[in-house]
Amino acid sequence: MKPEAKRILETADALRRTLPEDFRDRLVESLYAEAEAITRRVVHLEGDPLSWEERIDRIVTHPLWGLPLMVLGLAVIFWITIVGANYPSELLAAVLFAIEDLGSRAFAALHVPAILTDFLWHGVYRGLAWVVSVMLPPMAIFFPIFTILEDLGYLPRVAFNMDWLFKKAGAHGKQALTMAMGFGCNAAGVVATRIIESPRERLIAILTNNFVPCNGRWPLLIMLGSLFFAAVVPPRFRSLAATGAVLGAVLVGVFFTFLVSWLLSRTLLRGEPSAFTLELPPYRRPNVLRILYTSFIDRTVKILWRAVYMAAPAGGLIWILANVQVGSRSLVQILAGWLQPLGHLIGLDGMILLAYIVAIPANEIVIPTLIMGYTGARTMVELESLEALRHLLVDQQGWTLLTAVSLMLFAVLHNPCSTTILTIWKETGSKRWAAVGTFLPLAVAFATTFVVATLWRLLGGG
Amino acid sequence: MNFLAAGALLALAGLAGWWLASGRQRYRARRRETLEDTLKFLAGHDAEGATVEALAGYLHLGDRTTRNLLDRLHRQGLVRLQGNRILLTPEGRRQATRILRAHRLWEFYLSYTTDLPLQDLHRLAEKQEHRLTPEQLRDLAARVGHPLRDPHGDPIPDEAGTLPLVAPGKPLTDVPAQTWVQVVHVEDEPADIFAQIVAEGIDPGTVFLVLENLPTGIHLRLDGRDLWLAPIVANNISVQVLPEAPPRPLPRKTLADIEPGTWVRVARISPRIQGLLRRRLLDLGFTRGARVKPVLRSAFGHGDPTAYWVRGSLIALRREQAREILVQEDSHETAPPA
Amino acid sequence: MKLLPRPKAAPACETCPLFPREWLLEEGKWDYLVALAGNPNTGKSTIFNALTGLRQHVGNWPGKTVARAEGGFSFGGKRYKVVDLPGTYSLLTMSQEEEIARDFLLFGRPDAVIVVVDATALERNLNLTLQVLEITSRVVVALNLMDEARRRGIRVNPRALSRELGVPVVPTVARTGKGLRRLLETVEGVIEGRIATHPRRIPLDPELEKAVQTLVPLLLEAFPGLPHARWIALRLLDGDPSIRRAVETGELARLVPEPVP
Repeated sequence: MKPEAKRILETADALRRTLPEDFRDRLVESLYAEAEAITRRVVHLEGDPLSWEERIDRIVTHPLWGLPLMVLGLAVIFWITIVGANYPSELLAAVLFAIEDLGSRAFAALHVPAILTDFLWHGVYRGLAWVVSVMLPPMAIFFPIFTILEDLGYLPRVAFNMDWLFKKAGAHGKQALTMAMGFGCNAAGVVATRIIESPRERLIAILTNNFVPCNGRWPLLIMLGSLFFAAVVPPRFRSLAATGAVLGAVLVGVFFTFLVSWLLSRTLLRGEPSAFTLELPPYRRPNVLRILYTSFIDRTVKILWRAVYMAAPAGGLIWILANVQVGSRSLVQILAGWLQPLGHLIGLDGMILLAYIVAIPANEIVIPTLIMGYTGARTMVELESLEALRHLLVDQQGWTLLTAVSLMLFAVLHNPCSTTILTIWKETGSKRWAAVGTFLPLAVAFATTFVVATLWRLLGGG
Repeated sequence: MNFLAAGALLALAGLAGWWLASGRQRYRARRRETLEDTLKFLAGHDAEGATVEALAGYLHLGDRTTRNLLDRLHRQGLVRLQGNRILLTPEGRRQATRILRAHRLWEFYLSYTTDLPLQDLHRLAEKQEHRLTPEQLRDLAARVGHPLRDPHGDPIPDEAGTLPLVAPGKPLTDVPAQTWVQVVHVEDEPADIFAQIVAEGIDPGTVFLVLENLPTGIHLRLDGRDLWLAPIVANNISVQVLPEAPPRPLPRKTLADIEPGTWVRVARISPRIQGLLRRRLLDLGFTRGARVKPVLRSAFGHGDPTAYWVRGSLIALRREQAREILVQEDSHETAPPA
Repeated sequence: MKLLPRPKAAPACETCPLFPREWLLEEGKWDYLVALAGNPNTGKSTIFNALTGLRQHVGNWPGKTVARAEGGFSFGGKRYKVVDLPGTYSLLTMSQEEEIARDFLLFGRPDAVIVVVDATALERNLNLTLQVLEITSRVVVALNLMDEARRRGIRVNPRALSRELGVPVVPTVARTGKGLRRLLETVEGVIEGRIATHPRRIPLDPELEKAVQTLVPLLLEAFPGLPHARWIALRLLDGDPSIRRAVETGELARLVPEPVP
């Protein structure tokens, strides 16, 4: 170090000692005094700037209907997503499966070996087509609605409303905001935890984000809701019943978020709730056109692209597993056979567990994997109608209401996808926390489904 | 066969060497910890000095080991003897303060980042205080916003070793009736008594009037409230006697006490809030004189958190923070200044 | 299990050069470097998006878990590189965001800084603005959310504000793109020196002012021609480690503008 530099630092240190104890406080005070003076000279108020905003805030944070309003809002979003996605989903499926047909016929006409046609079109492409037709419409509806809520300034109010619960769980109210992000994608939710300053509470938010079902897990929840819960009510209430089932699953996830947060803050991440400062920004008129555009580009296309490049190889893998025969059985059947006892214990079956193992890279492909596993790719009918699916699962594979309930629980609670695990690793800089983030939810999922299945059977259900 | 035997021997030798080396390192680290603990102990008995026996008892060491230890410190010029009393030299005091700084800064850092219970902080800091280099300490202090006090309310020495508050306090039990005092220190052990003191709203910096001092307890008036403290509690509070009554009644209402819709002015942020959080609150506009109005109370948490209107924006705080922001009634309860 | 990385004394070279302006300009690919600063929730990102469109890149600040957005645009025949700084309420603490914003404004040597200010909460926003004015004088204030302010009956006089701050103030409505063109013209004017700025200085406590006045001559002696010495002195008094290191390593000399040949 040069002597002048040394002198500067030493002088600074010596001077600091001569300053009053609270000189840092005073600096901010003088800044604000100046800001106040300038503001007084350049701003003129006409009326109370708060009034109408306060009125809205009193409603959304009301003791009686604040919380129901929040849940209702969530339900409405789910309902719009489910109902709105139905028709475009079918249309997309019809188009994409028609292309599969055309493609495989073209291959046949070109005398491409049958096995290659099968692999490419009925394996890789079919997995892809499934993912696109099932995921694209709900995402294209869900994300923009959510972004509008974000832009309106409603989400911080949710954090405000929920903070007391988070505080009881030893966590931070801003975790509510990261959970909201998790509805879209858990990896994004994990990154969003950066807004929580206390490292302990941030870790809690990271480790529990997975209990919020991400977009990739929605199709399964919606499908089960429609197949098992909507089927028992009159047709006109079907979409409501499906919405109710999905909402129920989400609330179970939220319940576990609090439970596990509470447990973590008493064990691994012991500590008191830290300070909480949250700005409730003024309500603003969202720019709908821009939102439609950016949420489509930023979220939908990005996530869909990820799903596609994950789904294509997985589709290939399933096809191989389903078509390689050892003795009289295919690999899929053998593997599923191994997993069967464990699956049965938790109300599921071996094939479902196998599907979840294959789907570690992307949860979106659980359904197509299941279907291919059950039917064997060769014989797989095009299952664009719910009736055909119902026939396959209930009549042929013996699914019961218990299977549906267990699977919904498992879908909400089980381990995060590989992208999320990688993100946890990157954000915490620790392999151990990534491992905790993986195995903790998995253990919770197994424990919960085991208890539910055992009780169910004891009480004489399915 | 020979190769194998030779290889095994070599491996064994390597292992033994490693063990010896690491043991030596551990021994050195331990020795340093003991030396530094000695300095800390002596700093705590700076006025009258300490006896060898007292020091041996504190360190859980035999008399001979303790004497050897003192010899070493004496040779390094850190301690001096006066009769049978051991005292710190100026250099010894400087080093002791550095360790104290490390200890309290680390406690503060932990309380900021982990929110561990106060008792745990002390235990962890006992270890860490020996490991931090001056460079690391400087970075640490900056990172947590240069706190002046540790989570117990004790002053953190600055780099040069000066304490921001060098008021020698005396126990509250020794204060005559009808005197104004300011709290300088609250002993954090035993924990249940500490909790009681905190619950009464007494922390370093608090000013109150002692009304009566009786063998059965201390009667005092704290901002309009009359309190009785048992002697065992009062004994754990160190105070400084003030020459006269404070010029005007100190604010004792906090933001948490204010009804929604009432404008108040910030008087100060309690010294219990330190470091980054203090600066965050200041940056959000909770500076002295700022006009604040509670607007929204969280219905489900019974007013925890509450959102406050401050300097043109709405900021939600939990009760723990609102309780630390002292306020005064605002004389003109009209619309905010344009 | 470790809860968080232990604080390490950063190696001296993590900060040398702290924010390489030359590297950001990508060897002449860009003509000017512009930084966007502002409080959270002021529409800063909206302005950033409106300026750069899809020509943006999102990553992390080196060694930090804070998102960093960069982009670019062309205006008046010049190519501008824009860096969107983290939204902060202040520049005085050591939170990651404030550290990044503060160090970039000083060591990144941007050609101009756009401070996005929420017209509906001017007082709080001015806290940050006044601090930015201490670090750099080439500042343009974008008085954003003017439509919201009007709707709430808050009338802000941009001319008066400009007079008070000593830098140009441009009213904008980022949501609709209103005022952005004038904002860019003003930025261009400030960079090319057609618009002179005389930023307002924070009045300091007398004791603090005295300490600053003692330190400034020492700084100027060691680093002749050093701009913003007042701010650097203030930061040294606060004990800011990155400024300390810049003094130790002599990195501070890079801030001295090179003489025009």
